[in-house]
Amino acid sequence: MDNNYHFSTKDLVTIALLSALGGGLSTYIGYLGNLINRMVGVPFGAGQFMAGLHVIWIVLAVGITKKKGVGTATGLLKGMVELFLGGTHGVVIVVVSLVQGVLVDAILFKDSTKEDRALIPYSIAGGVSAASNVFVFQAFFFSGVPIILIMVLSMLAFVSGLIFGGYVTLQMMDSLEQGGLLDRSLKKEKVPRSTRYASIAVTVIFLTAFTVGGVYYLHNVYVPPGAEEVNVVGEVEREYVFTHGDLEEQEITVSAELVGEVSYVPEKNYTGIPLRAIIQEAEPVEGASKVRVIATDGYDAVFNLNEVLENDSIILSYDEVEYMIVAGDHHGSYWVRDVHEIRIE
Amino acid sequence: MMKGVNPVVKLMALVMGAVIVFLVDSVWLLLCFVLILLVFKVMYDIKGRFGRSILALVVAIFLAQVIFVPEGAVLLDVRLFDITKGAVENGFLISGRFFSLISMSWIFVGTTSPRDLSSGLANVGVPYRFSFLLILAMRFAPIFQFELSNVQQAQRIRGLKVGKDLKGLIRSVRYTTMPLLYSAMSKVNTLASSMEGRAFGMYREKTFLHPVRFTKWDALLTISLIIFSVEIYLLNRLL
Amino acid sequence: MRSASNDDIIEVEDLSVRYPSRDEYSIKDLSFNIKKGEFVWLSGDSASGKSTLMNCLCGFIPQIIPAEVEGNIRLNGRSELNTLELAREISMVHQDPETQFCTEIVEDEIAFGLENRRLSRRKIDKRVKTTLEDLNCSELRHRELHTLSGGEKQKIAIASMLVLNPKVLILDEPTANLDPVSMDEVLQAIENVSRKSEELTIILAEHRIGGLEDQVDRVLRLEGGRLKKIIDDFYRSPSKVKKRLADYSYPDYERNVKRRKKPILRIDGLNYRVGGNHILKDIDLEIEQNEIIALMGRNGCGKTTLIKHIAGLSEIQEGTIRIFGKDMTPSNKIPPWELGKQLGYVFQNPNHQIFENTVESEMLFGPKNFGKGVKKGEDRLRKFMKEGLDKGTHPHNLSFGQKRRLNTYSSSLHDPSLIIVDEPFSGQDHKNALMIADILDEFWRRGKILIIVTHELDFAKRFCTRAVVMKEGKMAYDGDPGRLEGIT
Repeated sequence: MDNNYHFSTKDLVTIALLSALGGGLSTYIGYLGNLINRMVGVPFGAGQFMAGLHVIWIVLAVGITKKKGVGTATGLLKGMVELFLGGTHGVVIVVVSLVQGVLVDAILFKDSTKEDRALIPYSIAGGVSAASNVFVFQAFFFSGVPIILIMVLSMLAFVSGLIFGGYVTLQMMDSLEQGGLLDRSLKKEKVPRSTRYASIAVTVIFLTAFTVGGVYYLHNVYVPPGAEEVNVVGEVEREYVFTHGDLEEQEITVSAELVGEVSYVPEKNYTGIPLRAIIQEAEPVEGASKVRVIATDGYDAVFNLNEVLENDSIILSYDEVEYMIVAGDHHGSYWVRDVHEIRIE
Repeated sequence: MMKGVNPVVKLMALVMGAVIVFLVDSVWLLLCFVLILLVFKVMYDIKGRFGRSILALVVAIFLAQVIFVPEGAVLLDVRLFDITKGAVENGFLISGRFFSLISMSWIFVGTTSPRDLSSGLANVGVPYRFSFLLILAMRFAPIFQFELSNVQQAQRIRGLKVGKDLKGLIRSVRYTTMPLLYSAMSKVNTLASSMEGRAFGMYREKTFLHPVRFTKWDALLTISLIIFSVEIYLLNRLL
Repeated sequence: MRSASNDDIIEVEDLSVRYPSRDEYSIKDLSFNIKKGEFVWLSGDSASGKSTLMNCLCGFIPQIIPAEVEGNIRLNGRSELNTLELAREISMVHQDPETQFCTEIVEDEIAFGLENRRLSRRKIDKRVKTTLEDLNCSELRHRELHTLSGGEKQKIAIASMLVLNPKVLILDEPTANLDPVSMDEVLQAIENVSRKSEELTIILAEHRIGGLEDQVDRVLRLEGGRLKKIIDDFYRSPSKVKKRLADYSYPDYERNVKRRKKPILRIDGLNYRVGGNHILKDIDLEIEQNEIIALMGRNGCGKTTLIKHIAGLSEIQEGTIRIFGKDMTPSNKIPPWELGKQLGYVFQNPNHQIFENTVESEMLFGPKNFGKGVKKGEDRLRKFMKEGLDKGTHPHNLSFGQKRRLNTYSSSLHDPSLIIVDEPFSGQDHKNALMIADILDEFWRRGKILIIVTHELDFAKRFCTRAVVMKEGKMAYDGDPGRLEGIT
C-alpha cells in the first residue's frame, strides 16, 4: 500500500475539475474578447482585456491546493482539454496554456516559505502568466510584428491578469471559503479594505505607467519606418549624404502617374529634389553608367546614369516618413519607396 | 487504420509535424503539406469546421505579415502601407503553418480518444494517476459547458441584461464564473471519495482492462515518421 | 428478512462530527453496532446527519472532507484505518451518479476499482460481466455513460461498487433525483442484491424505500444529528409503523377555480430537434389564468425543454408561442430579461442560480435587476431569518431545502404573473417538500399561474388543477390530475 504522494487524490481531482472548467469555458471567454473588440471597434487585440480569465483557473488551482507543480499540471491539462474540445488554436494552445501554468508556479512558489494568500504575488503571477500568451502567439504566428504592438497587447493582457489573477481570484477564494468549499480555513480574514485599495492603486499605477510609456515611446523612441538620410556611394569622387532640407533651392514639383503591375496611382503632384542634383553633389567618376536606387528592405531599381542626368522629372521626394523616387515616365517598379542608398556603378 | 495506431505515436507525429511546418519555409512545400492534411481530414471524416473565428485568425496572421514586415518588390500601394512580394509570401507561409497546425490537431483529436491516449501514456511510463486526469477532465468539460448555458439562462430570466457596455459585461462574467466555480468545487469531495473508495492510488501501477501497447507496427511507423520528417527538411533545403 | 449473524461488523462509539465552517455539530454522540449481513435503513430528514455518518464510516471524513471527529469507529474490530484500507471492505454509492463517475464508458467505470487493485485482465473482465448480470444490465456494458437514463446511471454506480465485493455497501439516497419508474428499477436492483448476497451488509439512506421494507432488518432514525430511534426486526413491524416512517403524502389544498377564459400562453405545433433527436413533437398547449399545471413524465421526455421554450430561453425551430400577447418567434422575440418581468423561473439545480455571496444580496438580486420587489424581498428575508439564519450567511452554507426555498422566493419577488418551477421536490425530504408546496400555494392565492414540473403523483392530484403528461416528446395526457392514476 502506498499512500505517500505529493499530490493527493483530492489535489488531482481539483486540478482536473478546474482544467475542465477553464477549458470548457475557453470558447465563452473568446466570445467575451470579441465582444470587447466590437465595443472598442477594433478587429482584434482589445480582447486581451479578458486574457486574465484564461489564467484565473490556474491561479485558483494553485491557491486552493497550495502545492508546487499544480500550476504546471493545470496549465498542461487545461490546454489538452481545449485541444480535445476542438479549439481554434490546435496544438498551440497546449503550449500557451503550459507556459502560463509554469509561470504561475514559478512566481507563486518563488518564496516557498510564504503560505498566505497575498495580493501582490497573486497579481503578478496572474499578470505575467496572462501576458505570456501574447509572446507565445507572436513567436508562432506573428513574427516581425512591431514591438510596440506586442508591448501594447501584452500590457493589456498583463493588466487583465493582474486584476483577474490577483484581486478576483482572492475574492473567489474568500467566497469559496465562506461557502465552506475551501479546506484550509486557517485565517478568517476577508480581503481587507486596504488590500482592495492597494489593488486599485496597483492597477492605476500600471495603467498610468503603461499610458505614459506608450506616449513617450511613440513620440521619442519609436522611429517611424524609413531612413533618415540617403547615402550616395559607389563610383563617386566624394560620398554624399542627403538629408531632407538639403538642396532646397533646387526643389521642383512634377506631375506624374504611377503605372505598375498591379498598382496604379493617377496623375498627381509630387515635390522633391531632382535625382540629378543629388547625384551631381557626389560627382560621379568618369565611366560610371548606372544608378542603383536601394530601399531599406533591400529592394532596388537601376537607372541609366546619363538618362538621369539629363532628366529633371525623376525626383527624390520626402513625405515626412520616407524618401521615395518619383519617376513619371518610368514603370511603377522604378518608383522605389523608402530609399536608403543611391549607388553609382 | 489511424484509430489502430498507438496514440502516443500519433502525439509524437503531431509534435513532429508542428516542428516541420515551422522549419519549412517554401510556400509550395507547405502547400503540399496542407493538401495532404486536407485529404486526411476528408478521408477520415474528421470533424472541425474552418469557421469564422479560425478564418479571422488566418486573416489577422496574413495581414500582420503584409502590413508590418514589408520585404522585396512593391506589388501594390495602398496609401497606408505597401503590399510587397516578400510580405505576401511570408503571409501565405505563416498562415499556412497555422492552417496545418489546426488540421493536424483535428486529425489527432478526431482519431484519438482521451481514454486511449491516457492508457498509451501510462504504457510509456507516465504515472497512471496523472495520465488518468485527462479522462477525468474530459468527462467533466462537457458537463461544465452544459452548466454554463444553464447559469446564463438563470441570470437572464432574473433580469440580468447581457450588456453592450463594459459594466454589464463584467457583471455577466462575475455571475457566470462564480456559480460554475461553486459547482466545480462542490464536486471535488464526492469525486475524490468515489475514486479513493475504489482504490485509486492504492499502488503505483494499475491494470488496464484495455491496454494500449507499443507494437512493432508502431515502431515501424515511428521510424518512417522520422525518415519522412528528415526528407521534408532536406527537400526544403533544396527548394 | 435476512439471516444476519451475531458478529458485529461496524461498531460506532460516541461519534461526534463538526465541520470547520459550522458552529454546531452535524452529528453528536452516536453509538450503535451493525451486524454482519444486516440490512439497515438509515432514516431521517435531509439535515439529520445521514451523509455525515456514512462519510465517516468510509473514512472520507476526515481524510478527504476535513472535520473534527470525536469518538470511535471500528470495522471488524479494527479502528484508525485510512480510506484505502477501508475501501477494501466498505463501498459507498453517492446520491448523484453524475458526480461520482470518473470515466466515460460503462465498462471502464465498473472496471475502475478492479484495475486500481491490480487484478488480472481476465479476472476483471469476468467480474465486470457477472456484476452486470446480477443487476440485469449486461446490455449497457459498452454504452457511454451520458447516454444512460437516470435509473440506469444509478444502477451502474451501484455496480461499480458491488464489483469490488465489499463487505459493507452504503447507499446515500440513490433514488433522490429519479422519476418513479427509474426509482422502482433501482429499488428492485437493490432488493436483488440483498437477496443474492446474504453476507453483504447494506446501509441504505433513503426517504422512501417502497417494497424494500420487507428486507430491512433494522432502522436507525436520525434527527438533528442524534440517534432518535432504533427499530429492530423492522420487517416484522406493523404496516402502520412502516407507513409513518415513509409518509410522503400531501394535504388536500382547496381549489375552487373560477375559470376565466383568458389564455396567457398559447403554443401551436411546437417541434424541437437536436442532432438526430426529436425532443418536442407537435406540442399544442393553452394556459389560462388561475391554472396550476403539473407537468409530468419520465426524465428525458422533454419537460425541461418545453418550459425553457415557454420562458424564451430556447430558440423556436418550428411552431409558434404567444405569451402575454407577445409573439416569441425568433425574429421578434423579446429577450429573457424583458420577459422575466412577467415570468419567474426556478431552475432545478440550486447551484446554477445562486449568484451572490450572502442570502440577503441573493434574495434581492432579481428585484434589483428589475427595479421591483426590493421592499417585499426585505420582508421575505426577515421571515427567512426566523429559521435561525443570518442574512450575511453564504447561500452555499444553507441546507439543500433552504437553498430551494431561497431560489423559489428570489425568482418571484418582482411579482411575475407566471411562475415555472422545475422539480421543486427532487432530493427533498417530506418536511421541506411540504414547505415548498405551501410557498407555491401562497403564490397561487395571490393570483399567479403556476407550471410545476414534478414526479409526485400525490402532489399533482391534491395541489394542481391540471396535469400535462409528456412521453417521448409528445403530450400524452392533458386533463384532470385526479384521473392520472394508471396513466403514469
